[in-house]
Amino acid sequence: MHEKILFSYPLIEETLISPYKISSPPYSVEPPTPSHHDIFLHEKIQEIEFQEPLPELSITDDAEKILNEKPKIKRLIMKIYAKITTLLHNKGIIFFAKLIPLKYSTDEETEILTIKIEVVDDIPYQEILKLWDELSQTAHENLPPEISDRISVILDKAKRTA
Amino acid sequence: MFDPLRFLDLAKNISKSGSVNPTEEATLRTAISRAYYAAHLHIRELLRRYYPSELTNTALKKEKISEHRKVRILLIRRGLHHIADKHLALFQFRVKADYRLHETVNKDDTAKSIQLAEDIIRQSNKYLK
Repeated sequence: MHEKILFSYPLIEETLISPYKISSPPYSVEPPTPSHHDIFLHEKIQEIEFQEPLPELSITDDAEKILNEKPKIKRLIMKIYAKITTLLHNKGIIFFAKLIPLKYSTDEETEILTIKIEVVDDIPYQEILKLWDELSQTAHENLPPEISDRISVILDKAKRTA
Repeated sequence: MFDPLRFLDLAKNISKSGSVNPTEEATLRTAISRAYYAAHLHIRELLRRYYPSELTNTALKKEKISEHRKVRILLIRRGLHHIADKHLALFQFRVKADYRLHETVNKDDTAKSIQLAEDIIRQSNKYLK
């Protein structure tokens, strides 16, 4: 499956949280189409002074299609990703991240956009499970149930290569 | 009534020792599948016992959704997002074990699935009662 790095940083007004600095006021007008939105994001890059870069989020083609069809979900995912990476960064955890759509059944239309975090550090799986609790609650914080149902966070240990 | 936690006992037993070869991939796949159903059915029964009206919610009945996702929705409605996300992850382990023949299932997958199932069961006992 092809994967693209669609965005490397949380770059929209809703995601401008610590540790970033805003060097200009946030935009107040939402871009009308995804393509304009991408231009908007590109412009926004120039206006944000990053204190530290965030790890990249790789996105599968299927996930990218959903994001392009639903710009609001795209913004939400970026906001959640920013919160998660801040939390992981504060704990000094090194990780890879991927965005994938998951389903419970092939018959169901609903796809659950899942941020899969693979922890590189050699920590026991029991510790991963504890960290997962914290990340999930952070990700779903203040989301209505019908939105939470469409989004998930999954943690795993990164596979070691020889 | 059959207790689904016996599926977890079975998963742990066959992944360690017994009459089957614990390193045989068919054994590992079976253990993962049983671990999932132990956790899933345990939560479902807790929801049936303590929140019967939510399971019979007409809105949920009308929608064409699987029982697996219905459990996720009800966990989320109770603010148990962390259990809901782990339930989805364990379901993915189970799909791989039961259907994805081109992917290899190893002992690490089995060990993680069993720990994940135990964690889900422990937390559902804590928060759903």
